[in-house]
Amino acid sequence: MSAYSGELRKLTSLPSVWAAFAVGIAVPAVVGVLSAVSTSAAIANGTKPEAGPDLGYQELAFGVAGAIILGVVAASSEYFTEGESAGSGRQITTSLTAVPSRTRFLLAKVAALTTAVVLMSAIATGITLSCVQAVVGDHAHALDGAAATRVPGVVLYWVLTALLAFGITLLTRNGVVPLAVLVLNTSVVTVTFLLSKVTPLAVYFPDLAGMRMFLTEVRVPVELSPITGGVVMAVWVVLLLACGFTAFTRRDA
Amino acid sequence: MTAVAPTRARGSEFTRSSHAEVLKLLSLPATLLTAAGSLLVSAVLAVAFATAGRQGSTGTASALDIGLAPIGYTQAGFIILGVLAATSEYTGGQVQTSLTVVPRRVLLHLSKVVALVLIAVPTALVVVLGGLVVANLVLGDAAVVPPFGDFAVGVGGAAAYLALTAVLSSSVATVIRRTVPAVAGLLVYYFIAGPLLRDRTAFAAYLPDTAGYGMWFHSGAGRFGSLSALVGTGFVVAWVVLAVAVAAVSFRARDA
Amino acid sequence: MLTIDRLTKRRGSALILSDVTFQARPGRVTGFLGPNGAGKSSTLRILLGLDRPTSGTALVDGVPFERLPDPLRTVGAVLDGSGAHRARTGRAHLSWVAAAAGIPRRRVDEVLDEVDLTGAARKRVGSYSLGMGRRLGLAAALLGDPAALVLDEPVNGLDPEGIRWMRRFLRERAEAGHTVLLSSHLMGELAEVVDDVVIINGGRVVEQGTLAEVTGAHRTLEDAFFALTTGARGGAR
Repeated sequence: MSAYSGELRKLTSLPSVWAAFAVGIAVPAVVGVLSAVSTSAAIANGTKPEAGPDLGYQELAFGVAGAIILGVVAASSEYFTEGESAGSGRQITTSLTAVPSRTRFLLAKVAALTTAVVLMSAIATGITLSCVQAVVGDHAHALDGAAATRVPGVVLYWVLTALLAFGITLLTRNGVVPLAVLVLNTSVVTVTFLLSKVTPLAVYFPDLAGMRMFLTEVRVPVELSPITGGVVMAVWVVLLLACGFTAFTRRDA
Repeated sequence: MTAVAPTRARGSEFTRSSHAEVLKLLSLPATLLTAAGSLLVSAVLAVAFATAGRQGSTGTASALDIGLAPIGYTQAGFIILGVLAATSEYTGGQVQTSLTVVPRRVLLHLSKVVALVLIAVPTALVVVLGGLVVANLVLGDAAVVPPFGDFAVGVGGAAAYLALTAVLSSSVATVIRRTVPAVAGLLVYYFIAGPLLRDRTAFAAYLPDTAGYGMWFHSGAGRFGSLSALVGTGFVVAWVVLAVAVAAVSFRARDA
Repeated sequence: MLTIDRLTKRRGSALILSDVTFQARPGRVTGFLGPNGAGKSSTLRILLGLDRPTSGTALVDGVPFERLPDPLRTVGAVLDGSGAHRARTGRAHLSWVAAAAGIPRRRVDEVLDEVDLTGAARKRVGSYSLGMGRRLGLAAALLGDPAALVLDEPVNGLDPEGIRWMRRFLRERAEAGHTVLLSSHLMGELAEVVDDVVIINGGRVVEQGTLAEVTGAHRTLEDAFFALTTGARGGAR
């Protein structure tokens, strides 16, 4: 328990973490409002009957960048040598002497990371969806209770993505490569989406599969159900974390 | 102990500092890796886009447009190159060494910009041409070959955009000083915030990523906010000058 | 000649340096001694143009460091760590320093030999031990064969043999007519090296003079140091 609170405190002390929160909350909210405004205008002049079912949710899919940053920083902050002018002063040697069992250390980190991402995604979802609702008003797509399952889908998607980023960073020991790969894949035209044009197997990539948990309109050849999508993504995450954990516990710090 | 000849050092201070900065970049393994990675990404994506082009699912059959399309992604490599060029000073306390050899900070900062441009431009040319060659090979007979004038402008504009993006990123990183936050912020801007704003607002046309769009995506020039390639280039250059100036002020005023 | 004149530095509400005044003369080793956090590094960093003072001046032969025409040939600085990026080789590091200062390439081999790092020159700095890193820093400072050497805690991280080597090296440089200014908090090691002593505590100079003057009636410099500093700090912590 003390390892968990130690890791939580470490996370909150990093400036990058607050920047990640800013990205994760601001991007979906701002872009969602912009989309909602243009949708309202389109409804007003008759080009659209009502707002699409994914309004707000599609923007939350982009906000996952904040979760990616959190996941990468949680792992890479141990290896920072910038600003260090003496020897190889990396935080990891202190961390490992404080909590000798490496597995327990990593589990505490994972728990702290999950807590932070759940918080961030809950705030982001709340703000984005209510802002969008406020703009679009009565023309919102009829939800009939679907929000109850879609919102947890967003949170779960963000948490799993953050853990994915964390596991990859453990393997690469360097934050730049996972950041580049994952942020590029979160862009407007994702690499996995391009690949799905080439082969239908691409829908089993973690991001495309996981998006099914809360997005209804994803133009891919094979449509997975939300639950299947979630399970596929979870399997990826477990595998990558296992690789990351093994690599971390086996090698020298 | 041999004494150093008492003559003054050769060359002007700016030339010497730029030379040293180029040596720094060339002796850093990360620089080579980033360049190689960019080339690889460019080639792989060229294959992907060209395959789609053969099947007719891209909007254009122009070998130039398809070959240059990967730049939307390879610009990530140049962002990273720029960031690493700046933040590597802060590893191991190297900035102290640099400042005791070249204490005039604005001069040091500008010589870093020059060195980065000297490295980034040839790298960009290789990356851009590599993508074009691969695309042309894959497209085969289906390729619509552009006239040489268009080709030269296309390659030049693309390489210029990549080099300018590297300089902009390096200036941002000079202010932030830490690799992961700088890379995260720039990548999120160029790949998520920027494109999202581009589709939804008019002012986004003046931002560095969208303004520079016309420099490498010629069919897209004039599409977003009606900025022609030439005007767009002007805006990108203006952003870069602003960033370099802000970074210079920051570098000069802060403690090392 | 290095001249520090009424140097004051404030950071926020903290007074880091207050009216620090002393000189480091050629042909002599000047020891700038004080406990941790006394302001030694801050003073040296201001002298080298790395930080800016609130008021006062720190001059090299009457000129601020930034305006020296050939800084590396005038002042060599050895600060904490190696001052080198861990991914570069020792030789690559010295090469860029030499290029920036317009110093011929052969000096790189000469200084590597002088600090006994020729064997490790092709290895990455990240693989160096603490002592090797410090020697690399010293090598960079010697590239221009400067008239003055400024060292911040030079024996930190050196083994006994390294400390003896450093002592002899610094004495030789002073005897050759160069200026040597070093800072330290280790009295015993450096009592055998220094000619002049400046003792700083809590940002103020509490005593300065030749070694004999500062030691005064005490048995050793160390005794004198504790007498001068612990009293001001209100007893040992």
